[in-house]
Amino acid sequence: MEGTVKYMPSTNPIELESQFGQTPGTSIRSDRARVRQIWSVGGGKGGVGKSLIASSLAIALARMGNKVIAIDLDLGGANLHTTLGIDLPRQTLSDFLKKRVSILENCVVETPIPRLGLISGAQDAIGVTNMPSQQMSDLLNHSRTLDADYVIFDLGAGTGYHTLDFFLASEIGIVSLLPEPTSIENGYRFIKSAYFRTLQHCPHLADIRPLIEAAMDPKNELNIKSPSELFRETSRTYPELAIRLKKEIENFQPKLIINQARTQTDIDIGSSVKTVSKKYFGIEMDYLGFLEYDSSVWQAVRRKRPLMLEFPNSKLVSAIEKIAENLISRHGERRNGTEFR
Amino acid sequence: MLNENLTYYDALEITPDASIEEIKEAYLRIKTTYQKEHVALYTIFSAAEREEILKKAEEAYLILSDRDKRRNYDQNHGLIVWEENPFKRKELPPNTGEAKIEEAPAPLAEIISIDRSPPMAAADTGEESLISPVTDFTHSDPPNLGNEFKSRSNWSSDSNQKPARSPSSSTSSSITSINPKKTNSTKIIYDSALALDIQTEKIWPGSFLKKLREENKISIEEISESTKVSKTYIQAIEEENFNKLPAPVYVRGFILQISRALKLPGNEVAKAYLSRYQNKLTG
Repeated sequence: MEGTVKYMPSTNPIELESQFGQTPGTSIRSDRARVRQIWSVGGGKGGVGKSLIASSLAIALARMGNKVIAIDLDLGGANLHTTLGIDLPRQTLSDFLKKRVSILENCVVETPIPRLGLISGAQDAIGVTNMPSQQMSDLLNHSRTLDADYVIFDLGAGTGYHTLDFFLASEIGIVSLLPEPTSIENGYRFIKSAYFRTLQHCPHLADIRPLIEAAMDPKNELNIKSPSELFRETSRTYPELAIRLKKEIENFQPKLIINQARTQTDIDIGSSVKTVSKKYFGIEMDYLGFLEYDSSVWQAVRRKRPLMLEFPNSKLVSAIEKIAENLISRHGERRNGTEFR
Repeated sequence: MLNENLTYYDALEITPDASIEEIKEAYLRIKTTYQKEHVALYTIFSAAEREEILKKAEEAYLILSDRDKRRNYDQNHGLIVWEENPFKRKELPPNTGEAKIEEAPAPLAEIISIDRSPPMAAADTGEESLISPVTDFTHSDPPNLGNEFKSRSNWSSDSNQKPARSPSSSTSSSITSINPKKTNSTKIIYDSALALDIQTEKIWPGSFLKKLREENKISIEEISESTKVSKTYIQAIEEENFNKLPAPVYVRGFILQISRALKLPGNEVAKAYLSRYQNKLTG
C-alpha cells in the first residue's frame, strides 16, 4: 500500500540478530525489555469492539507522545490493520511465526499515525491459530523487547489458551462488553476462564491444582462449581494455601469497558458487572468507562479510516482518550513482573 | 459468596468505616444489580442466589442505616473499626479457618471513600494510626476525673511558656499500643481555673484540646505516641482542619484516645466534636 513503508526500529536489526543468535524464536532475555507495559483488549465475544478499542487506545497513546506498537493477535480473524487504515501489510505476524523473519521487530509496519507501528495478523497461514506454547512464549518475550513504550494486543474472540495467556501476560487486561446478554455471557465466561487459568498456572498453588482444574469443569466430580466453593474446599484441605489463593485472586484485576451504550441503564451495567464479579469471584474489577453507541463508527469502518482520525472531535474519541489517560495515571507504574511460564 | 460468614458490611460490599452515604449508595447499587433478570447476573447467579443476596442486603441496610443499631452490631461483632488497624481489622471466624477474601488490603484501599483519604494514607508511618484494642475503649471514661483536677497555681503565671518538645520518639510497633507506663508516668494535672473550664466546656473545640495538651507540656509527638494517632491527625483535630481527617468513625476513636490521654470525659468530647465534623461533612 502506498505510504506504508517499512517501520525502522531504532536499533539496527542486523545487530540485534547477531546478539540474539540466528535461530528464529530464540528466547530473548527479559532484561532487554524496553516495553513499559502491554495492554490487551479481549472480551470473549466477536463484534464487541475489541479491534476498535485496541486501535483507538493505541492511537490515543501515540498521540500522547508514546511510541506504540499494536499487535493483532486475533489470529485467523485479524482486522486490526483495517481499523488503522492499512490495506494489506507486507510483513505480518505469520512471518515471525513461520520463521521467515527471526525478529518480531522486523514485522512492524508503519501506520498513518506518527509513533504508531503495527504488527498485523492479516493473511496468516491456516493453522497458525494453533500456536505451540514455545512459539507463544517467544512471541511474548519478543513483544517485550520491541522498540516501543506500549504494546497493545488485540485479542481474538473466544477463550482459547493463547488468548487467555496473552491477556494474563499483559499489565493491563481490558474486557470489552456490549450491554446485551450474549456479550455478558461470553464476557463472564472469558473472565472465569482467565481467572482459573491464572490460578492454574500459579506455581505456589501447585498442591491445589487438582481442585482448580476440577473447578474449571462445571461437571466435576468434586462438585466445585464456583470460586467460592473452590475457596471453601481449599480452606478445608490446605488452609495455608487459602491465604495464597486469596492473594493470587487479588492480583487478578481485569479492566472493563462497556461498548455501544445507548441508555443510562446500559452504562450502569458496567457497575453491576463489577458488583457481581466482586461477589462471585472476589475480584476487584475496574470499570474504566463506557463508549456511547455511535453510528459514525460504521462510517469510519466503511471508509477504512481510523475512528480517531475520522472523527477527532466525537464524544467517542474523547471517551477513549480519557480512558487512556486514566489508565496511565492510575496504573502507569504497574509491572507484571512474572515471566510467562 | 466467597465466605459463608458474611458481615452486613460484606453483604453490602463495603468496609466497616463506610459513611452513611456510602452505605446508602452501596445498598442502591445492590438493589439495582440484583433486580430480577438483570443482565449482569446472567449465567453467574441463579434466581435463588439472587434472592438470597438481596435478602441479606436488605437485612444489612436495615441495621447499618440506623446509627444505634449499627453501633450495637459493630460492638457485638468486634467491628469497632476505630479500635483497630483498619487494614487488619475483623476477627477470623474461629470455627471455620476460612480466610476472608473480601478483606483484601488493596481493594479495601479502593473502597474507602475517595474524597477523604483513608487513615493510613496520611499517616507518617503505617503504624502511627494504630490505636488501642477494644478493651481500652470500653473503659475509656476516666472514672477518677475529679481527682486529677488539682490546683497548680504556678501554671497560671506560666502560661506563655512553650511546651517542652521531646525529640520524636521511635514508633512502637505493637498494636496493643497504649503503653501503660508512659500514660501513667505523664501526670495530667490542671489548675483550678482550667478544671472549671473543663467541667463547663460544651463545645470542645480543637483549640481547647490543644491548649490542654500544651498546659501539660505534652508535645504532639508524645501524645501521638501514647494515643497511636498520627501526628498529622492530631494536628488536624486541633486545628479543626476537617478536610484532612478520615471518616467520622476514625475521628471518634482518635478523640476518645486523646481524651483518655488528657483525662477528659471522652464521650462528651467526642460527641460535641463529631457533631461539628458531621455537620461540616453533610452541609
